Amino acid sequence: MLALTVQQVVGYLKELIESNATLGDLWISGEISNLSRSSAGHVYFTLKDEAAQLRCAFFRRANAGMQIAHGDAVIAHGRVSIYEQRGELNFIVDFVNPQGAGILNAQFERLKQLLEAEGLFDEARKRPLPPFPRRIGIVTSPTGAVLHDIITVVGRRWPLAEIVLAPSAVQGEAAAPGIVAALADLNEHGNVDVIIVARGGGSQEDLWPFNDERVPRAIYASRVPVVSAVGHETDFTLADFAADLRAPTPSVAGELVVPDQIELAMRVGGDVGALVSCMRQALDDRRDALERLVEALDDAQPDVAAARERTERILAAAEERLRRAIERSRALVEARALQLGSLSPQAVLGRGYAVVQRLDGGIVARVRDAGAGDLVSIRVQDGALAAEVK
Amino acid sequence: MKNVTEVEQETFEAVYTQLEGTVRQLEDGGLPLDESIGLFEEGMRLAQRCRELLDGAELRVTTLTEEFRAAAGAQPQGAEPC
Repeated sequence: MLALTVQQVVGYLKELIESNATLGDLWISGEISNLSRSSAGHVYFTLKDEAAQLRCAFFRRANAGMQIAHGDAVIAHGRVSIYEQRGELNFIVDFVNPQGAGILNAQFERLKQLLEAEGLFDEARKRPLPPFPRRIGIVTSPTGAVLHDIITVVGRRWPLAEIVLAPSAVQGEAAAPGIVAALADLNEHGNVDVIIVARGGGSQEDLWPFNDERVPRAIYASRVPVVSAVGHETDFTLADFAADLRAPTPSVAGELVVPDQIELAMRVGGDVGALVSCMRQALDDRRDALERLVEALDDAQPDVAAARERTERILAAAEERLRRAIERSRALVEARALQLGSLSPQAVLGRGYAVVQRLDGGIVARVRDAGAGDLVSIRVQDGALAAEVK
Repeated sequence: MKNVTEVEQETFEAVYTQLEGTVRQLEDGGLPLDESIGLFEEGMRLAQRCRELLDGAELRVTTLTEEFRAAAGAQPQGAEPC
């Protein structure tokens, strides 16, 4: 029989231990002692209880951000291995949680950190919900208030949609695989625009399927956006972190996925108002333009009335001048007439002079105008006297 | 197939988006009067259609497994109840 080398034996033991599934994924509770940190950032400690102890290695990549100290009672997750150089059994720790928080919390925290590191919860990856979903997938129990609540809310707000239920258990052993299958079915055959994964309130254990690693992974893998509504407002599950949007309750999820028909009707009304006022404005603009054009035309027309008025004014002025000229002439004529009056024979006769006329009518102005024996007429102011020249 | 495209055009989203586009075009202005009138009439028609779609809607609820069964049972396509 050949003697084995140390390396062969230790290597065999290492293989034996590392091929064991249970030892490869282990939660161990104990107290931390002999804690030391290497310059490379690795942490080494011993996990112990009253009866036994185990060497632990908590490497830098895994221990980032974790606060542990000597004497802490913790639950640690990791795998058992052998450090061949020293032949030492080691627990390679990848997660540590306070013991007081319990094993469920420790599992939750570890998985949360894991999925977060993988990018399942990245904000940048969250997809917007469609504004007008036509088909809404719902993953929940077919019996129970949750489905009824969502149908009521969606029916009130947006009856144009269609709800496609993918029924699943939401509690117990069947829940996690059921939710995963329902999500896959909706993606595959549902022709839906958005999916709600919902469950009513319950104990931490009741909600536990939503912390099952498979569920957040299935939500992340969904091709259509997923809204989660699990438990009450204060409950956070890994499904919530992976969802594109978390609703505090199933009813709120119903409100978040659809628009409100009353609001939409109001917006349509607003649009009609805008159409009418735009049309009115367009017509008013045209009318104003037309008005301005007509005014411009008016202005361009020759002003007959003004011309007429101007002529009128000139005529009137001329007339007035003429009238005054006539007036002046008349006054002149009258003055002359007066002058003439004073020169008339009648006026001279009035003053006592007489006119002597021959019978043939000739005036006897000089002595040679009449001879002796001529019969003459002597005109005085009130008549005539017959006389004979001697 | 033809049925699908017809339904597609009649979604509220499509009609409403068209309405908003029409309003925006009219608001931007600068169009000939007859085009404005055309847009106005089109907008009013779309608004009316939006209202009809809202008024006539009634929420439908189906279960995915039932759909499978219906699809498997009824051979010809489009046997979905409307």
